[in-house]
Amino acid sequence: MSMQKIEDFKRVFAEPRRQHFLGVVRYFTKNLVTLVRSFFPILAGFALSDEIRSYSYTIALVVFGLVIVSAFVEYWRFHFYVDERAIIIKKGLFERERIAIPFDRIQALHLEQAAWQRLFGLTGLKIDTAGTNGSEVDLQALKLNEANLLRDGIMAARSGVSSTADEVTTGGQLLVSLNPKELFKVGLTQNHLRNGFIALGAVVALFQPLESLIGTWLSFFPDWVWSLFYWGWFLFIPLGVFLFIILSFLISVLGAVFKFYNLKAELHEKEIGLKAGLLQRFEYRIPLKKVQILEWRSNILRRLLHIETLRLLQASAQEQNESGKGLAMSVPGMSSRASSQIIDAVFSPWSKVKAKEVIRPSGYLKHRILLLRALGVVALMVAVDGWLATLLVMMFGMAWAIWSSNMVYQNTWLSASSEVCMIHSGWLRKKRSMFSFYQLQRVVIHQNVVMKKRGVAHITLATAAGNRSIRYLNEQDAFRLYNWSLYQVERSAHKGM
Amino acid sequence: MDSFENETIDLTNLPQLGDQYFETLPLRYFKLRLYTWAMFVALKLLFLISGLVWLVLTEDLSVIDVPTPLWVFLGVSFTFLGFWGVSEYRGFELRGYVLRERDLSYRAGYFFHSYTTLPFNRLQHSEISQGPIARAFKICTLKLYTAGSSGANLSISGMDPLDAQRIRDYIDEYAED
Repeated sequence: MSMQKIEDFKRVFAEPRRQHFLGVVRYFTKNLVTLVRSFFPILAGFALSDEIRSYSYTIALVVFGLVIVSAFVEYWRFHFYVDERAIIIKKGLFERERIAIPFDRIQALHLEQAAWQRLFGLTGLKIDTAGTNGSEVDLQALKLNEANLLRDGIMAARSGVSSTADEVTTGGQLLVSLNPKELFKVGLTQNHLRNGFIALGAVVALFQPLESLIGTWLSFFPDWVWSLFYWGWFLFIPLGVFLFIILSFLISVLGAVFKFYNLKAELHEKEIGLKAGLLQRFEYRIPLKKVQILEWRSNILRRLLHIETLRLLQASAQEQNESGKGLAMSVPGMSSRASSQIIDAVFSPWSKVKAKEVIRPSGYLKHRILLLRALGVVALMVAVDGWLATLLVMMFGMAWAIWSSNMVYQNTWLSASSEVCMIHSGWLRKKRSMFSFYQLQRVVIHQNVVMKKRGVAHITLATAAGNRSIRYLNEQDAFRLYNWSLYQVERSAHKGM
Repeated sequence: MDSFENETIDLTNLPQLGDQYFETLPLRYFKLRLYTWAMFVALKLLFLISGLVWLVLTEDLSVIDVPTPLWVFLGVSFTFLGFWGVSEYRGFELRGYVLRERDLSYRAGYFFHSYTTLPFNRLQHSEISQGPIARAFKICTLKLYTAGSSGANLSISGMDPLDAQRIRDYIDEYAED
């Protein structure tokens, strides 16, 4: 986008304006849901009391009316416009609120399109900032071309970069494009077990309210069915397991289709874009500069099909735990070629660095895992009856413990160039994360008494998008990494995030 | 591009974090920590004795009749208090901070030891806090915040308020450069 175009964009949005009128619908549903959710106990009380129930019609009407009016007022009072360096939003039912978000503070802009919005050619625009939780701003309904202009304009206007949007229109390198076959692959390699259990939970939760209905339905079966079930219940176990597997499998594939339908991930010079969705379409863009961590996850199935899921993590104040949940964007179905493309774009060319140093954890890690698993096996040995069972458990259990601890140990390591660090972990479910040393915020070394005696230490490298730990390193490796990280951070002129 | 390997020679010339640099915290803080521990022990003993007296008086139990789980509970909790005491007593000399030109490091812990370093060019803001008890002991807590998490990333309790203020002044000066 040329400077002229940026000026145009600023002129178009210079006047305070409202969203599309249908934003009212979005406010209406949103307010209704919040209202019902927050007053649920009171509503339940109403339903129980006969006297109030007789007024239920009136009450419902009044509440509905109030929600409609408030949706209108909220829509009416919501204005947004753009000035030289920020997007400004004015809103508020009773007190006027004015929010100014400088373009440079914007982490990412997401377009999210629900099915009804697509019908009218509208879209929601979400603005993520690195601020504290809840500071992000939602525009509920914009015309699609308006939203695109606004987004491209903001992206181009930040820090005076003038090349972004032209590139966007021509399209960058295509990283991932899921055709139906690829989409099926992604669905195939989801976590079926988890999806199955979620479905099971939903069934259990739904069972109670529908119990009477199901009861009458079940009473149609003749008695012999019940006696058969009573005596031969174990015959149904394989059937149940089979159904469970099929069901969870179907749910994963369907879920993947709904979420990732027609997914396209594109790498542009300054940002990465992702769009997908069957009913609810979304379109995310993240500036490459704001990416703090790249993280790949794969399971056995995914590795067989040579795909991985990539997560791009950005700085976020919401992150508190070790697991590192920040603002993240997930790209499924990454090939290794796409991965190396994105690594080269986000970090300095990693593939060209020949002398990467590989640091392995101390053997203490292996021994510790082995000890814990062996203890588990012993407990199982005590639990089973009969000498044959005990012997079998001992043989297979110990073999498994030795093998698995060895495999976990072999798959835990880190490789580092002078600028970038990549941590590998996990054996069946592999994970690797990658970040620049200079982006670290803080470094911590942990040791307990035993580890100190053995010369072993954990190191935690904290980025603004979450912490990454490497456990059970040799002490001198840990301290070397510690001093190196600090050197890289303190050497960089780059301040803050 | 230089590789990590090539730079390792450089690494040995980098400033290393060594034990000798660490500044210990004022003894007043040691006292406060020991008092806290002693208070817990005293409370525990009080609780135990009053409980035993109550048992003997109302239920007419001799000490031998006290059920085993209770003994186990007592044993575990006193062991815990013992370990706590040891870690307070032995751990104090390990607790300390070191201010370097570009970062602040803090280490603590006897049984669970940790080193934390926060580079000043990643600092978002700092805070000195002092509660009523800390005021009575003339100590304070220095908290340093970076981006990416909502809590303090480095907090040093039991600092001398003057020292804390000096460190803060230094950081402010550093940030202005």
